[in-house]
Amino acid sequence: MRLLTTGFNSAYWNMSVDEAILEMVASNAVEPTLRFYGWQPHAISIGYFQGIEEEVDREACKRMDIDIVRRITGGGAVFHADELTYSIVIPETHYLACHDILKSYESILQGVINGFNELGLQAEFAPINDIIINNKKVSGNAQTRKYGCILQHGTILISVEPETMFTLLKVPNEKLKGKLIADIKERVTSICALLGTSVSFETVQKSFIQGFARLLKEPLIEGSLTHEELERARILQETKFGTEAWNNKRL
Amino acid sequence: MAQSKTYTFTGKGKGSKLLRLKLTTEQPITKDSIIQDIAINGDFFAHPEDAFDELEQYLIGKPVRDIGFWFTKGIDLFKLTVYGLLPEDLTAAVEVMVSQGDC
Repeated sequence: MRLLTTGFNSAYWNMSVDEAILEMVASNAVEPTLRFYGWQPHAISIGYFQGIEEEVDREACKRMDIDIVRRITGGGAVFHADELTYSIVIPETHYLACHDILKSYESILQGVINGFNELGLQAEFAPINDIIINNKKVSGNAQTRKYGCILQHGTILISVEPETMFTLLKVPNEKLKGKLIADIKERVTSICALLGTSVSFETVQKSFIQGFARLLKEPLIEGSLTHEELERARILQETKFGTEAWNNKRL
Repeated sequence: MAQSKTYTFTGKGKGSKLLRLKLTTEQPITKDSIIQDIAINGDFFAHPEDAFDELEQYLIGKPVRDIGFWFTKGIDLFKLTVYGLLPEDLTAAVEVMVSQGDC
């Protein structure tokens, strides 16, 4: 499997690269790929089925120089700040890609759980799409299936700023229904909070590369985006992820 | 001719994910009202995603009282897999809309 570490980029570029890789893996132009990346400037991504006005305080985002992008995957809105993000693209015939969507989340997320283990943390899968530690969410994930391939991407929280997060996101009280914890801020934790010390992006990235390496039967081979992927990502950024038409799709 | 109005509902149902339903019907909404426009938003999952857009279009023209039935038919018709949102969540949402009417 190809391993990419693409560093920090804008929300529009990050989502464009994920989709470009998906297309290239689907056409057998590149190997199945595991990618790690960060977000600069910080950004909010909303799920495919979310309305931007319903979920995000756009004025606050503008004021704080936060990008907003719609994902091609479902799920909820995410504030991407001090985190490591991964994406994995595999054919639906890959051994990690079960026909059952929940099972495929679980099998792929074992790599994320292993990554937390590398840092000395015991994490567990919380269906449909979360990873929790001590009953608190530390990773959110989303998956889509297109062109015979699975794209799954997810966040790994290095530290969290709940105050900023809830300034930018509109979180309805209803979302707390069925939860035992009253305060939404208490539902989320991070690697730094759990370890009680600061941990760098590079250290976390290394741990999760190790975590996925333990899961995969094939070796992880470091690579880079191909010329075709870069060109396709540029087109997707210009015509899709960077456009108001896409990001305002469900107001 | 009756005027149209967009009714909204936000809440979590048995499907476990947040649902934000926007429904345009004649005013006031009743169980017999016809769906003139609909947006089913939320943090649920549906594959393939763009087929869900077609499912929403499919629900236009259907009576409000049968939204769960037609949603289920649409899932089959458009070969969708949906996680985190159940047909009964939509039925429950429109029941709230109807019971609250124009309050």
